[in-house]
Amino acid sequence: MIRLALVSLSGYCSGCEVALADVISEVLPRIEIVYSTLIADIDKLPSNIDLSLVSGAVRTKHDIEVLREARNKSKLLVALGSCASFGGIPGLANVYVVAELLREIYGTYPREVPKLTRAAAPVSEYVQVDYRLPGCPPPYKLLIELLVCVDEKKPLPKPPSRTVCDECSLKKRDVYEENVYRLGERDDVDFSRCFLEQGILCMGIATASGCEAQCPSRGVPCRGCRGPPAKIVDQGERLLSSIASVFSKIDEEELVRKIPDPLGYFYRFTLPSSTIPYTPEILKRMEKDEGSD
Amino acid sequence: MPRVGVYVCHCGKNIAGVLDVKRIVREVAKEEDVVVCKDYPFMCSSEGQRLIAEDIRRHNLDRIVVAACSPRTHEPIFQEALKRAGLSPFFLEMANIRDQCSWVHEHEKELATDKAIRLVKAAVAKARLLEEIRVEKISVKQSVLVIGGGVAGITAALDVAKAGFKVYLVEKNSSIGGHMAQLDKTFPTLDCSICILGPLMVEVATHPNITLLTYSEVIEVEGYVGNFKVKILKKARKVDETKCTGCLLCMEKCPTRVPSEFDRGLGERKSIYVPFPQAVPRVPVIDTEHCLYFTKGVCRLCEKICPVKAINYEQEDEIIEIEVGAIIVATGYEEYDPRKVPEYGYGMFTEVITGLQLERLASSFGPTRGKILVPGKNKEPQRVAILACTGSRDEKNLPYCCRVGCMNALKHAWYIKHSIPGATIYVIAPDVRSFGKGYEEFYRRIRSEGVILIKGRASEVHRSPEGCLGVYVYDPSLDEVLVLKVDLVVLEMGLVPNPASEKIRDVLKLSKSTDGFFLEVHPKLRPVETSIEGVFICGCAQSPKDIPDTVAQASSAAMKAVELLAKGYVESVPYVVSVDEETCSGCGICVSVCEFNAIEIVEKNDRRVAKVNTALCKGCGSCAAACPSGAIEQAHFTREQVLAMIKALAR
Ligand SMILES: Cc1cc2nc3c(=O)[nH]c(=O)nc-3n(C[C@H](O)[C@H](O)[C@H](O)COP(=O)(O)OP(=O)(O)OC[C@H]3O[C@@H](n4cnc5c(N)ncnc54)[C@H](O)[C@@H]3O)c2cc1C
Ligand code: SF4
Ligand code: SF4
Ligand code: SF4
Repeated sequence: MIRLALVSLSGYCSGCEVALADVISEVLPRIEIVYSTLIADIDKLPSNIDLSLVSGAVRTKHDIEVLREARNKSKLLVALGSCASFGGIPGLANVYVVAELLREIYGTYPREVPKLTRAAAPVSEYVQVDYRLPGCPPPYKLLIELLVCVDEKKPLPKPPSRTVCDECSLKKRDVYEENVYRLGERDDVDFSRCFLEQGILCMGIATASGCEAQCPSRGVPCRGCRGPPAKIVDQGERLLSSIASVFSKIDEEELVRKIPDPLGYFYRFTLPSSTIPYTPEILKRMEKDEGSD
Repeated sequence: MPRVGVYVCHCGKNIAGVLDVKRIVREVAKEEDVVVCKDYPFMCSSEGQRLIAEDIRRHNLDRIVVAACSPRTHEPIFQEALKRAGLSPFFLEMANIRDQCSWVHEHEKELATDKAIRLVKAAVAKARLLEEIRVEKISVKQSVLVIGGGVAGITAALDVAKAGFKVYLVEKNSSIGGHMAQLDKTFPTLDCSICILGPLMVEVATHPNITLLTYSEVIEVEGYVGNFKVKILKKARKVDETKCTGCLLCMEKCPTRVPSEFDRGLGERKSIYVPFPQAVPRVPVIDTEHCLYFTKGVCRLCEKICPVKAINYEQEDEIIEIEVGAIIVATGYEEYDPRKVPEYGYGMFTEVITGLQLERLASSFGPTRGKILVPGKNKEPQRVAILACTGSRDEKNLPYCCRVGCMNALKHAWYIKHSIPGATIYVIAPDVRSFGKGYEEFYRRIRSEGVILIKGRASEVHRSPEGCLGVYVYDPSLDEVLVLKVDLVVLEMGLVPNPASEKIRDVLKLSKSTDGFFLEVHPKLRPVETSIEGVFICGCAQSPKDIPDTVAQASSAAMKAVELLAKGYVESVPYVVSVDEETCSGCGICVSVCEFNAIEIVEKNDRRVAKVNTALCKGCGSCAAACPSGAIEQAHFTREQVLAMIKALAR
């Protein structure tokens, strides 16, 4: 029986908890939920936790406190989902400084909002992480596999070094269209063929496998939620250089025009854990920023 | 523990004039594993290289870093130095502190030195991790393919053949000779062009080592240096080459008349024809687009007249497959389209012709048998304007110099002077560039013969009210716009690559420079080599040039091919890539980026994985950069090595 804590940080959408609820019938005999503010209404972290599943990105001062406490009280700490693993969607806010961000959303700086950190960050930025199970939400098979391993005290599964393409059943011809399209832009898409070859941006090429290519096989290009495969550090950089290489015959300006939001495309889930440095200018503005720590 | 030796070159003042070499040496000497760290004025000198070899022996060095100039030019030199000292050449790493540092930061000496220190430290970091690489010897096929049978291709073919190797000369037209066969005389010596070219053409046809394939085109090339597999399309002549004796009775009897390409549209030919009397081979072809039998199903006169029954209307295209060790591309040039300079009225006025058309008019085997007559008027011109630099050195058209237009203008003035002594001749040129041997002398000679030279560019050619042509030109020495009344205008057109060379570029995957001509590896030091090893370029295919330069370059390309064949083997490319099949996800990105078709996807245990053909891989690294799984490693540029460099740079 695993003494399980579900640590939901503020930068989250509760999708990961729903994923857990999805598999709960299969794992119920193995777990005892000792902490969760969301599905069990236990808001004090007990000691002697076997496994903390942390979801959400770190975004508030309070998150950091809870996270550190969970780490101290747990044998294993796992980042569950893309936000906890890489910073996730909330990480895209990192292109704003906090004051700008709050102004953008609330108009003025609201008193009731907890103090924000300088930037959204993956859990690993603050505490040691034993394992990452990314995905938005994480694939349920992998979640079961993880819980079984912990319960039976087996070594944790190896993170995949291959990409979604490896599992993708769409047919490939290894020739690429000399143009790039958004999905809605073409009405002659062949849904039995690789998207990328048809010029439709698919992030499967640089996204860790494990999802069984669920999106591409259902007619939706991969958005990259599982983050980079094991040998790759920066998913967005890989996507960028692969896509730039493959579509090198397209006029540069045209290509740039066709990809209006490169950050959103290539770093949708991983901006806070990318190798993109903050420029000195941004850092200076952050220093002065009222929300900084 | 590796034992690293570091050598910082002054490159005279190139490096030491900007960077504080001594400070670099002091700083780098502190790095871990650096056993020796020295500076020297010219590392690439024999003394510099000796220094490395000596230290390798004395200090037992096993990794060498040379901080100097570009590895592109100098890596082989230092690799040799390592080899001589008994060390693997792949234990060398260069830091380019000249092109990438001193040359670009000459005003920030302090900062530039800081940067150089980082660059050298990064090289040391990589050097520590360098690994031995095995190279294999691959044998070289003992034959050469020459594409294009102009004077460049002819010269190259003969040179290679005379060195004892087999040559296949492929020419798309029905005869070899190229443009030089169209010229009447050649500047500056005024030799009769066909008189000096003809014997070489015959020699090509009769040389035992040369297989001449005219009316043929290269359609496919596979393989790599030393072992190219080539497919050649031999178009049907409809005349049996083995039977034809060249009596040309068929040509006499053919009832059709077609504008002659060889005479640049000024004369006519038949539907069965050789383009000019001295054609090699002297075997006609049937132009099926105009032949009465092929268009209307009647006639067959040539078949009846041929005494040896060589006409064969059923003859079909053939595909010939050959294997060669090297390829020489000599596809030549074409005149720039005069219609693209509409202000001079080419195509509108029959009295406006190009330089090559004048060559045909002046030629004794041309449409007028050498009498210079104004096309469409059939009388000798009394006043002639020759416009040098038409389309050349002109931002709207060709930005570059054609290198023959000035001399052509002078030569053409001479043609007219000598066939119509009383004629008035204006040569209009922005400036006369008479750079070659004997060219300035030729220029003076023409001036002394009463030709009027006007510095400038004609602005327009008009029909004047008198019926002749008016050439408008601003003369700066008179500060006046002149209107020259003339009977003939000759446009010395700029030169562009032969349009048929595009196909060859595709087939061989050659690069071109911004002007469209084939790109050499280095404009000064490696002018006939291309980025595809074993493929050489020469003549006007490489850039516009005159015959002396064309011939010299053709011999040079032949020499390079012979060098390759005589050596007998090539070494495999050391810096090839390998795929980790466990990591490869079969996405095929690498396949689509490899310019050399070196990667394919294969099925292995029900998975798609990439497979590299190391014989084809050129080590360009494109696939390694593009592979989104990180499955590809390139030897000498491994992830570990590159990361170590980045870490050292960022420290
Ligand atoms: C009007 C004029 C006058 C000139 N007069 C002089 C002069 O007096 N003195 C002088 O030194 N220079 C002169 N030149 C320059 C001279 O013509 C060139 O230097 C010379 O002809 C270049 O030879 P080449 O073999 O490189 O090219 P080319 O003569 O153009 O020959 C190229 C050959 O390759 C063939 N070819 C092209 N593509 C293919 C293909 N895909 N497959 C097979 N075959 C192919 C072509 O059919 C052609 O036969 C003159 C140039 C012009 C335009
Ligand atoms: S559709 Fe996407 S995931 Fe599937 S093979 Fe193509 S790029 Fe890879
Ligand atoms: S790019 Fe990489 S992952 Fe994709 S097929 Fe090639 S080697 Fe495999
Ligand atoms: S390194 Fe270049 S040549 Fe070699 S396989 Fe990769 S892309 Fe092709």
